[in-house]
Formats: sequence, structure tokens, C-alpha cells
Amino acid sequence: MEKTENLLLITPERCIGCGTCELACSIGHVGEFKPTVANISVLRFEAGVNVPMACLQCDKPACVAACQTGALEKDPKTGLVGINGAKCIGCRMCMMACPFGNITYNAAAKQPLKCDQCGGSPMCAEFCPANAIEYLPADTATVQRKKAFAAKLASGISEVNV
Amino acid sequence: MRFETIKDLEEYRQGLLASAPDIPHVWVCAGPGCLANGSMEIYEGFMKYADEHDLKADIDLKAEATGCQGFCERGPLVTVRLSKDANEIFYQRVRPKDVPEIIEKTILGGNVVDRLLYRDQATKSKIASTSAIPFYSHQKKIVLRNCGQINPLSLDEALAADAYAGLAKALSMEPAEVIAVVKDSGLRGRGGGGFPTGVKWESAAVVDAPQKYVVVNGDEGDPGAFMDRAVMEGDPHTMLEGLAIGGYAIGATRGLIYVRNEYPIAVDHLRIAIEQAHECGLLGKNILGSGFDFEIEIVRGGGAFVCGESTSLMTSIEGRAGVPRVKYIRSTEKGLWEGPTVLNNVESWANIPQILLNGAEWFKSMGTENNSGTKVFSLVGKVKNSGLVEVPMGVTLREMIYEIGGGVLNDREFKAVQTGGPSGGCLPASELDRPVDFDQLKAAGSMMGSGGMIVMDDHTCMVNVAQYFVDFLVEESCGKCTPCREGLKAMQTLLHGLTSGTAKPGDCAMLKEIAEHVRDTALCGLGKTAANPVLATMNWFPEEYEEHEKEGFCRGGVCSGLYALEIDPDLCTGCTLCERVCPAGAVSGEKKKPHTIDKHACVTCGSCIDACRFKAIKVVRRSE
Amino acid sequence: MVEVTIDGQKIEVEKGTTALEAARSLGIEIPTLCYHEGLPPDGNCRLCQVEVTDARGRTNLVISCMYPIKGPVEIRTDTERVRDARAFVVKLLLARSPHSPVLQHLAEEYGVEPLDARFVPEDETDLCIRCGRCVRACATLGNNCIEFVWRGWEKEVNTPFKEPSNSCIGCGACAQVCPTGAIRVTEDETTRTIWDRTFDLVACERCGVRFATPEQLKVVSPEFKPVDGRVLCPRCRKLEEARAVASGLGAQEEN
Repeated sequence: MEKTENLLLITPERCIGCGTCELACSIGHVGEFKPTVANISVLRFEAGVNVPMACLQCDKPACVAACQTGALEKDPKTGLVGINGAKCIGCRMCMMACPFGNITYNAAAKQPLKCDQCGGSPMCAEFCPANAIEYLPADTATVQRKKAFAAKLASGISEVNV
Repeated sequence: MRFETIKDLEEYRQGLLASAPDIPHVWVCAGPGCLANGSMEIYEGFMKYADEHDLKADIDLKAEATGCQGFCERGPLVTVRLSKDANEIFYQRVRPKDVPEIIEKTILGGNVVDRLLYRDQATKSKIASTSAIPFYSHQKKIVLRNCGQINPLSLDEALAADAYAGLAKALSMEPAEVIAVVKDSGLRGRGGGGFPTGVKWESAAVVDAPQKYVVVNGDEGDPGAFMDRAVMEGDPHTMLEGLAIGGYAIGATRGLIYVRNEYPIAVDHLRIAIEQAHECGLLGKNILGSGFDFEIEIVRGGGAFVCGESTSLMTSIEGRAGVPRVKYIRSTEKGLWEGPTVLNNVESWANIPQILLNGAEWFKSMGTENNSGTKVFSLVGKVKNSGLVEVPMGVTLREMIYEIGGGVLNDREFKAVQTGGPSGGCLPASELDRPVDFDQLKAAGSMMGSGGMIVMDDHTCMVNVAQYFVDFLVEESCGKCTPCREGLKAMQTLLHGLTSGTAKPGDCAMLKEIAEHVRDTALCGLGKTAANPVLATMNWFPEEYEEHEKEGFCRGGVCSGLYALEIDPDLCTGCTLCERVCPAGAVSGEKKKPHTIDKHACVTCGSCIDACRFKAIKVVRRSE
Repeated sequence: MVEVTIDGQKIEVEKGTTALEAARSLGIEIPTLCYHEGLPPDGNCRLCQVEVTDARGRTNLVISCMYPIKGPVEIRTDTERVRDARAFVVKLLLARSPHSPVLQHLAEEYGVEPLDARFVPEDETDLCIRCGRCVRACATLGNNCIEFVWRGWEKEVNTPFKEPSNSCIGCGACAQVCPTGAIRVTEDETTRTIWDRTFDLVACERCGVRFATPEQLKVVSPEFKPVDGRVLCPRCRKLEEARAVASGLGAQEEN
């Protein structure tokens, strides 16, 4: 579990599928509304079920294990899996290793893309109208809720390790 | 035989000296030059004669094949000493068929074979004794003292010549004391850099590391250089001993000898010497009871010039392609396999045993200030007495070339001497009185290098000389860094333009600019000095560059098509030599009357210039 | 920690920090070509020259990417000598690769007068500057399928014996790190070709998109786990994971 004071918590039950998080993420990172480059995406299913997906900042990140240059590293202080783009050599192993498909690669910038929680004030959480994405203190209750979300995933329970 | 203590070794040595029979001794030079001229056949001739005539090896005659005796020009060489106190008789240009005569007349009869003696060109008299020959009398041998004096394959002979006495002495001292002696001696790296050896050792000694290394650079790659080869082939134990002393001093238990692949005899001799030393406890565990362990292994190079550069050499030993690394962290801190490493060249290591044995003051008594000791040179090119010479530092170029070297071949005019190999430079006649040492040569824009010394006469084009070295370096550049890889290639393009008469205005200035930049920006020592042949020739012979660029004229009479030839009727004797060597039939004339050259038929090959003994052939500008 | 001065600005850095790192931390730009933060430094292109004056007052040109700061030195990144040295390097590289936009740009920045046609090789389409970033990238990934071959001016990067490499996984990192775009990777619908070797691309078992070479998936296999036994592209993995979450919430099928 990340040791940061706050957690990015996704509650898909609340998601209304509006996609505001994607827009907020892209405007925050690239300065324009461009959901395709957002580090969070909303997957929409029938019966009005929507699931926002973003990096879970795994405790044993498969992406970090696959990276040979140290471009991806888990910060022991914040618990975030960070990217040092200058160190990336473009092998894209991280992308293939992530069990959740939460890393993309920007070929133009020659850098992998993933959620960085906007350096401590995630735009997605800020703008989510339904509180489906929250940035909450990592107390016992929040941790339990994140565990519950992770438990629903098909794979990668061990990676998330909650 | 195994020496458990220093006392064992010294007793054995005394025994050897005391029991040596006082019989006639023959040394046949088996150095590279003499060997190529069939000296092995001569040696075998002695053995065969002794066999057939029932001469006993321990009573009547001892014949030995030795390492290089130095005077390669007059090889094959055979030296004879009739008894311990007798003068050494020097025979030169010996052929196998001369062997019976040498034995019968000299060894059995006590007389010299006159026609095999060296004839001094200055005095026109014959000299019988080695030490009286000017080539040898000006020399002072420390490194080469055993070369040509002992059988390199015999440990006993080496021991009789003080081998491992320096090591024994070192082992009775503290390592720091050993370093202090080397430091005090002022010995500077003989590979060319001239870095104080003792300081280098000290900086490796103070580093705390589980494994340190001492390494011999035996990758002698400079064209025309064969000093290190002579030592490795002719006196391998001295170098092994030096290496062991270095290992003891810095705390290294492993020594490696990197020998260029083109030296198979050196590899053989070293391998045998290592085995011999190992067998009797002079290498291996607990050497002479001191508790010091030391192993030596040989690594054969792959034949790349760049592997003579220290970091490339280590990379090569590690089993990777020999390319240099950026050297902001010294090898004495992190060298071979990341361990502190002292790398010295063959000649530096070979100096160590004598320095230990005789002391720092003794070593300092030779040479000049900050340049103590001697230096071995391979004196080659257009010089009468080419060969291997060892002189005290500070001997002038003139002494080297005229006293030892006997002057310029065919008494032509001296033009330049190239020192330091492809990293060095050329010095003109005005510099002949410059003493030869690290600092003096550097101040003159050349360098000591490993000791190559190439003499050039007036039938030499300095632009062509620079081109020769740049061609060599383009071929040998490892290509790792931009300035050396691309810069040298650009320099080569410009030089070929100059020597082929296709240069453009401003090319010389551009050449100089590129050369200076290569010097300032290249990665390794070889790259930084790669421009030296160009910069030094431009510095001392600017007019030749200018003539090539502006007039398409080569005053040296070398660059084909850039000069015309005329025969000076006052000097021409009509000997017809030029006519006979001319491949184009351009020379004509009556016998004993001045000849003429048909400039239209002449292909400017320059053969006649070398053939003429009367300096009658003049290089002139082409008249268009 | 040591205090150094870079272009007049003082900064405290950890001992061993390179001049380049120190300068960049102050926002001072130094051009580099062979240097890549994710790879071991090699110092071969010689572009990142700076001038360093040590405590004894000696000034030298050094390459900033490998020069370790050990004491209180003064570093100058924009003197005439520095610009001159960098311009020289650019000039030489540009002669070899006159069509490289990266080099053209640097040439403009440093006011480089290109060398004349005599210095430009006949095959002037060569973009490779022999910096070896590709070689180091491949080695870092543990594949070692390309190396420098020959030496001197003939030196080039290639696979062993110029044959398609068995150890290549087709990841294309070599091309990604190449500063001049000299390495060609081509892809069509079902294959990727690099260094003369053509790889079949694995199709996503859900959407059919070809997303990786089998060799890549094999290398990443300790981390890469099929979802429901199916090999999926990153996009479909995300979708399938989300579907798993969604199905717990009562959803059936995606629109």
C-alpha cells in the first residue's frame, strides 16, 4: 500500500461515465482536452456501469521490475511509481508488463505515460462530479475501500498487495 | 631447486659464480634483426662444429643464442670472449660459413678474424673490442645490460647476472620503503608519458581494495620501435622481477603482462621464465619466505595500436574490444576489473630491480635533473648505425645520431629526426644540440614516446611524413570519439590533397585548425597526440606546407608530380648509376660525362636521387 | 558535499556529481548527443565540452557528461573555447551526416561553416554518428544484439556478421534512443522489421491489434500474465480488468 498521506480512491459504483476525469487529466498534463492521452480512462459498460481505471501504484510494480534503466521507480517515500522520462530508452516493456494496461507510451515524446497523481493534487479527483474518484487520507477505512476495489480486479491482486 | 629464503637464493647465486668455468664463450645474437638474417643457422653451426670436433661444452666452448645485442645494422652479430678477463671480440655481418674460421682462428688459435671486424667509418680503422666501438662506447646499459649477454632461456645465467637480487632486497623492506626508493630515484614512465613511477605506485598503494593489479604494457605498437621486444625476448627475468617488486610495493598479488600478438618469441621466453621462476619459488606462494604471494600471467594482444593506451589495454585484458575509456578516474583507483591497477611499460619495469639493488642515488647519478636514468631508443631510418641503444638521459640528438648512429646514411644532409612514434613529432637540424629527455623533447613540440627515433635525410618530404603517420593513425584509430575518428580522416583528406597537388588555398590553415582541435578534444592519450606529427612538422617546416599548397612544389623530391629533377653538371661524374635505376629511361648521357634528365619522360619516382652518390641530382620547381 | 561555481552561480552538489548534472540542475543547457540518462555514460561524442578551473588554477576542457566534481572547481559552459570545441565536433559530424536535422540544428546554433564536399562521403545518407546509444541500450536490456564493428572511420553499428540477430527481441529501443534517427524500424500490419530481421507481431486475442513481438512477451513473461488465458494488448487488458470490476456491479457486456 502506498505510504502517502492520501490515496487516490476509485469507487466505480458512483461513476456516471461523464469522462470529466479524462478531460481534467489531459488538460492538467498536456494543456488540452484530449481524452486519448489521459492517464485515466473510463470504461463504460451496459446497465450504466462505468469503471474509471488509473495506475494503482502497486506495491510490487510489474512495470518497475520490467524497466532496465531505472526510468520507472517506486518512490519509497510517497509510494508512487514515478517516471523519469530522461532515463527511458523506449523498450516499452513496462507497458506490456502492467497487468491492468495502465501505462501507455507516447511515441512522439519517447516517454511512457501513467498516472502521477498530479504531484499531490489529482485533477481527476478534483473535478469528478460524482465523487467516484477521491483523494483521501490513507486511514484504515480508505485502505479497506481500495482493497475492496482491487479485489474485484481479475488479476494482479498480488501486485497491488492490499 | 627451490629457494625458501633469501639466504638460499644468495648462496645458490654465489655457487653459480664460483663454479662458472673459465672457458671461451660465444654469444650469437638472436634478436629480431639478426634472427631474420639467419643467426640461428650460425648458432647451430657452432653447436655442430663443437659436436663434430668433440669440443666439450663445459671445457672447451660455450656458445649461446642471446637476445638483441643492439647493433642491428651490422648483424648477424657474434661476440667472443676467450676468458673471463679478456676483452669481448665483436664480429659483424657473420655468415654461417664463417663459423669454422671463428672457432679455429679465434677460439682455438687466439687470433681475431680480421675481415669480420667492424670498420669505423670515421677513422677507417678496424675495431676488435665491443667496448671500443663508438656505437657501444657512448651507451650506458641498465635495462639492456643483460640483453645479448645471457641466454634468455637460462635462469642460472640470469641469476648469475643478479636476477631477483632486487626482489630479495625489496622483500626485506617495508612496501612503503620500496615505494620511497622508486620515488626518490625519479624514475619516470618509459612508455612515453613520463609520469613519475613512484607517485603512481603510491597512489595505488594507499587505496584499500580486495584485489590490486600490476600490469606490463608490452603492446609496443609504434612503427620502427622494438625496445620492449628486446627486453622481453632477451632478458625476461628482469621484467618479471620488476613486476614482482611492484606487486609487493602496492599490495598486488596478481601481475599481468600484455604482449602484442606479433611478438611470439617474447611470449615464449616470458612463459618459460615464469615457469622457471615459479618452480624455484621466485613467484607463487610465500616468495622467499616473505609471506608475499605473487602470480604472473601473460595476455596476448590482438594487434591493435590503440591497445597500447592504458585504458584500452585493460579493457582488452578484460576480454572486451580494446577501446579507451574516459579517464577522469585514474587506473590506480579503479583500473583492471575495477581494482586499483599500476600499469607501466616494459622498460619502466625493467629498471626497477637495478634501482632497488643499487639505490635511488645511483639511479639519479645518471641523466639530467628530473630525468634520471637512461632511456632505450630504437635508432632507425636514414642513419648509418641503426639499432637499439641505451643512453643516459640528456644525451644530445647530435650525439645520438652522429656519434652512436655514425651520421646520416650515404652522408646525405640531415633533415629531421622523428621521435615518439605516431604521437611524437619531428625536430629539424637546428634542434640537434637539444638534450634528449622528457621535458626537452616536449618543449620542442615533440615527445619522448616509447623511444622510437627515426632519422630523415634531405630526400624526405615533411608533408609526406605527416601523411604517413596520419594514414597509420586513421587505420589504427579505434573510432570511439568524434575528433579522432572524423578529425583524423579530415586531416588525411587535406594531407593527400597537399601531397597530390590538389590542395585548395587555405588548406594548410584548415589542417592546422583541425589538428589543434583534435589535440584539445579527443578522448584518449593517443587521440590527443594524434595530431602531433602534423603540428610538429608544420611548426618546424612551415615552408614545405606552404610550397605544397601554393605552388604544388615538393622540395623533398618525394611527392610524385610535384617537382622536377635536374642533374648538376658540375657534380655529375657520369657514373651512369642514375641512368640504370631510372624506370622511365628519362636519364641519358655519355659515360664519364654529365648526364641529363628529360623532364617530360621523368615520372618523378625519385629513384635517381637515392642512387646518386655525388648529390648531383637536384630537386627543382616544375616549369610550366 | 562540495560547492562549485557554474557560470557564476554557486551550487552545492554531492561529490561525484557530473558537471553536466550540476549544470542542468541549475537550468543551464549543455548540448549532448551520446549521453542518455538511462544508459551508462561513454563520453565519445565530445559535444558536451565545458571548461573547468581547478583549485590550483589550471583550466581544462572536459566533457561534462563524465567529469566528476570532486572539489571546489569553477565550471564555465559558454566560453569561446567551449563553443569552439563544440562547433568543431558538430562540424565533423555534419560532414559525415549532412542531412541530419539534429546536426543541422546544432550547426546553426554554433554558427558552423560546413566542411566542403571533399569531406562528405559519397554515401551521404548516413545518419549514424557512432555514439553507441543503441549499443548501450541493447546491452542494458541484456540482449547485446548490436555492437560496433570495424574501427576508426570504418566503424559502424551492426549485428554480428551483419546477419539477423538471434537475440534481438524487436523492441526497437535502439531506434528510440538514437539521437539522429539513423535506425530504421518498419512495421506493416502483421510484422515489424529491424536490423534485417522480421518479427511476427502477436495479435491481441480480443481486439486483434498486433501489439508486440513474441520475443518481447517472452522477456516480459515473469510480469506478463494472460488474462483468462488470453494474450491481450494493454488496452484490452485495461478493458477486461474494468469489466471484471463492472461485472461485480451487475454489468454484462460493453457497448
